[in-house]
Amino acid sequence: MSRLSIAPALAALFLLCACGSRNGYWDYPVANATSYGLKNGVALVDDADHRVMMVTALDDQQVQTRTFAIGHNAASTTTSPDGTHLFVLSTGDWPRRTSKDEFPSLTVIDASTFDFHPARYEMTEPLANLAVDPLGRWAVAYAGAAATTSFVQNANEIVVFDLSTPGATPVSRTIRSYGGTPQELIFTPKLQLPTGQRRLLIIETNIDITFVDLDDMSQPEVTIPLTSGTSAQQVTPAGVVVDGFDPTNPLDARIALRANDNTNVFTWLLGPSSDPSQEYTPVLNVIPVGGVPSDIAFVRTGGGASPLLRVAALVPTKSNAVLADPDTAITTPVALPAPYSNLSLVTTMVAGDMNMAPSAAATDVAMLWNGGPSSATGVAFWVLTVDQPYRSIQSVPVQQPIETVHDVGGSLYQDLKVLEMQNGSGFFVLDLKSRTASPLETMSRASILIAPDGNRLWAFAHGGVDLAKVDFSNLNPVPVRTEPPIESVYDVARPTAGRSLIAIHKLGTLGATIFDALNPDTATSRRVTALLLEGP
Amino acid sequence: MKVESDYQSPVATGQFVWTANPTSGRVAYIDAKSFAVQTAPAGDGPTYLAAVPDPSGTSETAIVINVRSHDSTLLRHDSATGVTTTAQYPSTADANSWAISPKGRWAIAWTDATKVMNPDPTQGFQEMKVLDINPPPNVPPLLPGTVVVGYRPSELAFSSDETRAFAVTQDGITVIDLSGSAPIVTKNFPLYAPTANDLTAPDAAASDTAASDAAAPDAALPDSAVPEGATAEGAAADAAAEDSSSDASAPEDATVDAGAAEGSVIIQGSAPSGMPDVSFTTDGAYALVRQSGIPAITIVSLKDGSTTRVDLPSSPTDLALAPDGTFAVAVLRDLSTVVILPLPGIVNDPSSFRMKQIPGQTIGRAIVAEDATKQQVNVLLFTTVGNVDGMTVFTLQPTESIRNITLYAPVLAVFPTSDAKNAIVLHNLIPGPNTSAKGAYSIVPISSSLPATIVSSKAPLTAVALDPSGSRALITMSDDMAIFEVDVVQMQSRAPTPYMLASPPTAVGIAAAADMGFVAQNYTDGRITFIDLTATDAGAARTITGFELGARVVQGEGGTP
Repeated sequence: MSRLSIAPALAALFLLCACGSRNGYWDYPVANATSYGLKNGVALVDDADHRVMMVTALDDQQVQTRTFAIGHNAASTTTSPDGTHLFVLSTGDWPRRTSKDEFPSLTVIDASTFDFHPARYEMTEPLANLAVDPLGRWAVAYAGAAATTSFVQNANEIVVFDLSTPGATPVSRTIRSYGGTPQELIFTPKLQLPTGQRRLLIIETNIDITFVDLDDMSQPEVTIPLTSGTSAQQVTPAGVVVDGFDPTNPLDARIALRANDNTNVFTWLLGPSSDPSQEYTPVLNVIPVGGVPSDIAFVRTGGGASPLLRVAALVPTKSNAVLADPDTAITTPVALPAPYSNLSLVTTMVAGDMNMAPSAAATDVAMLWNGGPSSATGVAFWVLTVDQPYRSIQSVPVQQPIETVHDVGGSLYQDLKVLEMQNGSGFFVLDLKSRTASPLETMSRASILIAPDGNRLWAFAHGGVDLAKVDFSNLNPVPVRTEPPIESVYDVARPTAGRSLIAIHKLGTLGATIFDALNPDTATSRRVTALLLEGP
Repeated sequence: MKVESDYQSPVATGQFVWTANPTSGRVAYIDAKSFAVQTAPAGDGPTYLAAVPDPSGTSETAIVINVRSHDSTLLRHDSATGVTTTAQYPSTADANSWAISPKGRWAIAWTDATKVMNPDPTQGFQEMKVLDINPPPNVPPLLPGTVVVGYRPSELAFSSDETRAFAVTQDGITVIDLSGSAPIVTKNFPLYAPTANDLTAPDAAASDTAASDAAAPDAALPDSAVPEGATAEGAAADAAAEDSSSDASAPEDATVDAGAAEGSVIIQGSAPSGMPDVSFTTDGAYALVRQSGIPAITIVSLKDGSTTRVDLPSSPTDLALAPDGTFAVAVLRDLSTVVILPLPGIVNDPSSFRMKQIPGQTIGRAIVAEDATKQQVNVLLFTTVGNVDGMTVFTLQPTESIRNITLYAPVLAVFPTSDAKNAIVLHNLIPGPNTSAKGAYSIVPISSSLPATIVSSKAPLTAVALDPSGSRALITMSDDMAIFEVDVVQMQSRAPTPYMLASPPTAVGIAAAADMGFVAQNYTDGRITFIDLTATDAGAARTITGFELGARVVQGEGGTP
C-alpha cells in the first residue's frame, strides 16, 4: 500500500474517532444562558455546559472572561444583595443512574474580589429554590412552589448552608407541617431574645409560619399556625417584618405578619419561656386594622419623651393607615389623602430636613406610594406622630401611577428615589429632602438600572438599542446606542478603578457592548461577540 | 359592629389565668409570667370557671361547667412537670355556679337562681352535684353525688373543716353532710326564729310577702328597683333601697358576678333580691339572717338548727360579719346607729349587743375592715342612697373613735383593702350641667387622716380588683364605644396610672403569684391585658389576643447542630 493510499484512510479514521469523542456540550444551544450582575463583573450562567462565565470589564472597554464549573441542571440562580456572590442551585443528575452522575449541589462563586473563588456544597436531595441571607452568612434551599424535583419529595425539607465555611456539609431539617409548605424565607438580623442575640430564619408557608434558630440549629423550631382550630378560614402569610435589636432589652424581639384576605395584623413578642428547654415563648396579638393591610412596617412614633414602637399598616380599602401598639393591641387610625398601598421608611434619608423631621429625633418618616396595578397617583410622606396624626401627611403630586420605587445606594444620593411609571412613559427622580419629583420622559418603555455606587441610573429599552445614563448630580441624560438589541445592562467595577457598563446582547452565543460608565460614548464603546463560543 | 367574645370571664390561680371558650370546647390558660398560652380540652360548652385552691402548692387547678354536655372538667396544671391533666365529672343540667370548699377538697356545681332570667315558678334549681376533687392523701375520692336542697338556692357555704356545706334557699338553710361515704342532705333549718306576733315572717308564704310588699311598696322594692343615681325620699324608702341582700362587702346596687375574675367585682345596674341576707361565721357554726323590713337579726345554729332572735329597735339595712368572726355589725339607718353583736355570745344572750350612734351622719351600709397583724379594726359606714358625699370610719380597735371623711360625690360602692388601711370608693354620679364626668372614684385612707383623692373618668366604671397585699387596685372603665381603660392605683401614693385598652373590659383580676393584674376584654378571639404591678411606668402592659391561635404554637424537636 502506498503512502498515498494510506493517508486518506488514516484521515478518515481520525475523523471518525474525532466525531465519536465529541463532547455533548457542543450540541447544546446557548439560548437559555442567563446573565447576572455582580459587583465586579457579569456572570453568564450556561446551564447546558454546566458552567458560569465571569465577564470582567477592563480598561479601554476590554473584557476578560473566566469559566467555573457548576452542578448539573441548574434550578435556581441568584446573587447576594451586595453583588459579591453568585449562587447556583443544581438538582444534579437525579435520579442518579451511574456513579458518575452528580448529586444535587449548590455552587457559590465569591465575586467580592476579581479572583472569583468558587465553592461547592453537595446535597442529598434535590431542591428547586434558594433563599440567600442578605448578610451573607446563610443560604437555604427549599422546595417552594417550583415543580417537584423527584418522584417523591419532602416539601417541608430545608437545607441550610453555612457560607462562612466553604464546602461544609449543609444541615437538613424538616419543619413541622400542618398542611402548608414553605413559600417564602426571611432571614432576620440579630434579634434580642431572652437568652441572647440570635438570628432567626422565618419560614412562611401557605398557612403558618415557622421560626428556626440559625445560630443554634439544635434548637427546636417553633411553628405557629395562623388558622384557628375553631375556624375553617385559611390565613395565608403575605409579609413579615421584624424588630428588636436592643442588646440591653431582653424583651425586644418582635415579629409582625400580614396575611392575604385577613383584616388583622399578627404580632408576636418573643418573650421568656418558663420551660428551660425553650429559648423563648412567642406571645401573640391579633390586631384588627379595619381592612386587609397591603403593607406593614415596625416604626418609631413620636409624641412622647421616648419613641414608641408601633406597627404601621396601610389599609388601601379604607384610604387610611393604622398605627398598632404591638404590646397592647391599641390602634390609632390615620386618614390618608389617597389609598396608598406601599410603605418605605425614609427616616435616615430625610434627617436634617426641618420641614419633615419632627422634634423627636427618633420619630420615623415613611414614604407612601402605590405600586402595582393601581390607578392612584402620587407619593406622600408620613411623619409618624401619634399625637397629631392629622397633621403628619404631606403629599407630593406625581402625574402617573407608579410601578416601582427604586432605592439609590451609595453615599451621595441616598435621599433620592427613582419612581418608575406604570405606563412606561418615563420615570421620576424624587428628592426626599426637597420633596420634588423631577420627571424624565422616554420615547418607549424603559427599564431602569441604578448603578451600585449610587451615582447614576441607566435607562434602556429592553430589546432596543437605545441606552442613556442619567447622572444624579445633574439629572442630565447622556444617550448612547448599541448595534444589537439590549437584553440587559450591568454597571460594574473595573480592577483598575473606574466603572464600565456592560450591555448584554442575546444573539448567537451571547455578546456584549462595553461602555465607560462614567463617560459613556458610543464612539469609544467596544463590542465583543460569541462569549460562550468555547467549551468549558 | 358589635363583637361578642367567645370567651367567658377568667379566673386566676396564682400564676395562671384561666378562661373558657364555649365555642371551641377548650379552656385557655395563660402563664402571667411568660404569657405563654395553652389550651386544654373540656366538654361541650365550657362556661363557668372556678379556681380551686391547692393546699400542697404543687399545682394550679381550675374547674369548669360544660353547659351543653351537662358535665364538668377539672383542669390541673402540675407546676413541677408543666403537664396539664383533665378529668371529667358530672354536673347538673342547668348548673351555673361553683362552690369550692376552703381547702379545695369539694366542688359543688349548682344553679344560682338569681342568675337565671325569668325562671318558671316550677323551676326550683334544687339539684346540686357534689364532687370530691381533692381527697386527702391515701383516701379514695367519694363518687360524685347528687343532693337536692331547698327551693332556689342563692348562696352556698362550707364549714371550715369541710365536713358540711350549707345552701341558702327559699326554704331555709339546707345542710349537706360531707363526712360520710356519700354526700347527703341531713337537715333543713328555717331562716327565722318563730315568734308569736311576727306575722310578716317571710317563710310563712311567698304570697304573704307579696301582699306585704304591695302594702308597703317602698319597703318591699328590691334593690334593683331603685335606679342608679336616683334619689329616694324618706327614711323608709332609703332603708329599702339601702337594704343589701348580697355580700355585705358588695354595693347595694352592684352584685358580685360569679363570672367575674376572682377577687374582683363586676358592677351591674341591678341586684338580685327577694332573698334574705345570710352571713355564715367562718367556723360554720352559725348563720346570721337579716330580712328586709324586720327589726331583728336571726341567728341560726348550723349544728342543730335552733334559732335565736335578736330584736333591734329598728329594721337593719345591712349586716356585716367581721372577717375573724368575732362580731357582726348591723346598721340601723333610721336611727343613724350601729349595732355590734358579739359572736357567739349573742346566741346565749340576745340582748348583749351594743349600739353606737353616729351623730349627724346618714348611714345604711357597713363593711368591717380588719388588719389582724396590727389589731386594727374599722367599720366603714356609708350610704349608697341619696346625695350623701361622705362616709364614716368607726374604729373599734385599738382605740374606739369615729372619723367622718368628706367625699366629693355620692357613694356607689366601697372596697376596703386587705390591710384595712385604704378603701376604693366608687361614686354614683348624678348627671347634671356642672359635670361631664361619666364616672368617678376616690382613694380613701381609712387608717390615717389624709384626705381622700377623687379621680374622675370619661367613661362609667365597670369593675374593681384589689391586690391581696392591699397596696394596689385596678379599676376598669368603659363606655362600650371608644373609651376603654384601666387605672392602676398605688395606695401608698394614691396616684392612678391609666392604661388604655383595645376593647371593652369585661373582668379584672390579679394573678398574685405573678404580681400581675389582668383585664379580660370583650373580643371574639379572646383578649387579656396583663399589667405588671411591680412596674412604675405605663409601659408595663402587655395584651394577648387570640388564645386559640396563641395556644397552637408548637415547638419542634430540634435538628442536628
